[in-house]
Amino acid sequence: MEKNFMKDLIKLITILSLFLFIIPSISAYSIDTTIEVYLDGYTKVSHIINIENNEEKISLLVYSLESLDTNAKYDDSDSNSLILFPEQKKQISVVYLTNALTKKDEEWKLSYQASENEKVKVIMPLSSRILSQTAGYVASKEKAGKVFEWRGPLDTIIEYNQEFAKLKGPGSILLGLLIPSLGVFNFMLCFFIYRKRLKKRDNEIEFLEKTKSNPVLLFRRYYNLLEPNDKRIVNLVLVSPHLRISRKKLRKDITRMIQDKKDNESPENKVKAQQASAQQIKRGLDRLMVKSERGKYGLFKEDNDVIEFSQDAKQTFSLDDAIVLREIRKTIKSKGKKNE
Amino acid sequence: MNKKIILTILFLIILVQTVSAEGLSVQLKRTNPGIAKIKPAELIYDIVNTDMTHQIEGFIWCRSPDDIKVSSTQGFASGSGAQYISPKFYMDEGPSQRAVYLTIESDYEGDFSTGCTFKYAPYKEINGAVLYQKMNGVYTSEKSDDIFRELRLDKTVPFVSSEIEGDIYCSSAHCSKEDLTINKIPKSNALLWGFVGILAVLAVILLAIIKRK
Repeated sequence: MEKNFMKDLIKLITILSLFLFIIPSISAYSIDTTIEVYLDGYTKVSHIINIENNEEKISLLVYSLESLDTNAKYDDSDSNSLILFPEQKKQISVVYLTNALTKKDEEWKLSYQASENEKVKVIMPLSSRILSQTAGYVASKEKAGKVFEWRGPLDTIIEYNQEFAKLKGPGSILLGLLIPSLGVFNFMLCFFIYRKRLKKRDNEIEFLEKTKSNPVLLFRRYYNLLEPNDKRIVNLVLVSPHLRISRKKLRKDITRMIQDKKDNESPENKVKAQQASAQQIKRGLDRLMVKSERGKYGLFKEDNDVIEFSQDAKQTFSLDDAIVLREIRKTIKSKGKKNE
Repeated sequence: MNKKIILTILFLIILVQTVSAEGLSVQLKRTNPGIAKIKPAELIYDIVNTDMTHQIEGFIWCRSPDDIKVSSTQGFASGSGAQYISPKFYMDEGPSQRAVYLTIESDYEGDFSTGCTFKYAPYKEINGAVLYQKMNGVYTSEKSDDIFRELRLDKTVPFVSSEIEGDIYCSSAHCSKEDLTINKIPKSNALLWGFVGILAVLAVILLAIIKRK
C-alpha cells in the first residue's frame, strides 16, 4: 500500500516537473527584432512584438534608449526594461535609437542579447568589413546593407570595422602604373610589327614593280636560291599562267617532291624520285591544261635550258605567279630548316 | 471689487495655462539620408511635453510639394504619395517624450521637403470627461479645428543617386545633399589584375612575333 503511494507520488512529481519545465518555454508572444547599424555606431532597434494570447503587459529589455516612438513605462524593478501595455492588440511596434549596442576599441563590436522567442536581424553598413560573428546566422546582401539573421536566444556579437574606399592604396598605385605602361608597351610592339610588315611589303612591291618589266630578274633571284632539283619545279610554275587555279594542289605536289628528294639521298633513288616527281607534276599540269588552252609549260633537265625557258617566260609572267613563287620558296625554306 | 479680483485670478489662471500648454517642443534628432529608389530616408524627431498638467493628443500631417512618399513609424493611416496623415497618438503629461520616425521614399536624387506638421491638442481628463484646451486657454469638450495647434517638422531630407554603391550618412542632425559623407564600397581589383595579365600575355606574344621575324 505504502509502496503504491510512493509510486504515485513519484509519478505526480515527475509530471509536475515536466509541466513546470515546459510552461516557461511557451511564451505568449514572439519578437522580431531588426537592428540597423549606422556608421557612427548608433543603432536603430525595431521590435515587432506578435502577441498570441491577451497579455496585460509585456516586459521588454532595452539598452539606453533614445527617441522611443511609443508610450511605455520603465520597469521600477529593472531600469533596463520597458513595460508595454498591448491593450488587446495582436501586434505592437517599438522603435528606438541607442548607442549602447556598439563599442569601439581597436575594432567595432556589436553585442545584443536576444530573449526567448526572439528573432534577430542585423543590418550592417555596406562598407563595413565583418571580422567575426556569432555562428548560426543566415547572411544576405541587400542594397541597404549586409544582413545577418539569427533565431534566438543567443548572444549576438559582430566584430567589424569600417572599410572606407581606398582610392590610392598600394595595389591601386601599382595597377595605375602597370596598366598604362603595358598598354603603351603593347602599342609600341604592335606599331613596330606593323612598320616592319609595311616595310617588307613595300620592298616586295618595289621589287615586283622593278621585275615586272624584267621577269628574268625575278626568276634569277629566286632561282639562285634553289637547288637544281627544285629549279625544275620553279620553271614549271613560271611557265604556267593558270597555276593560281590549282595553287594548293601544286604546292602539295612540290612539297611531296621535295620530301621524296630528301628521303632518297642515293643517286639512283634521286633519279627515280626526280622522274616520279616530274611525272606527277606533269600530270597535274596536264589537268590544268585541259582547263585552259593558253597554258604553257616546260620541263627542263639542264641548267642551260632554264635560261632559254626564262626568255619564254617573259610572255606568261604575272604578279600572281611571283607570289606563288614566294610561297614555294617559303615551303622549301621551312622544309630545309626542319631537316636541319 | 470681488468681481474684479475673481476676473484677475481667472485671467492669471488662463495665462499660466497658456504658457504651460506651450511646453511642447520638437527637436530633430537625426537625419538618415536615402538612396533614390533603393533606400528610404529617415527623419527622427523627439517631441517633448513639459506641460505637467496636460496630456497631448496629436497626429502627423504631411503635404510635401516634392515627388516623394512619406510614412512614419506611427503607422499608416490615410493618404498616399506626398500626402500622409498618421493615426492619432497620445502623450502623457510632462515630463514625457515621444519620437516620430518619418520615412521618406524618393525615385530621384536631391533635397526634398517633407512638408510635415505635428498637429496637437492639449487636454485634461476630469471625471472621465475629456476637456480640450483651445488656443485662448478656454476648455471645451467639443473637438473642433481651433483646438489643434501646429509644430512644423518640415526639414529637407537628402537623397543620392541609385548608382552610388556604399553608405551615406549625415554627420549632423540637419543635413542637405552637400553635407553628406559617402563611404563607397572598396571595389575588388581582381578584374583590373586580370586585365594586367591579358596585357602581359599580349606583350609576350608580340615579342615572340617580333623575334620570329
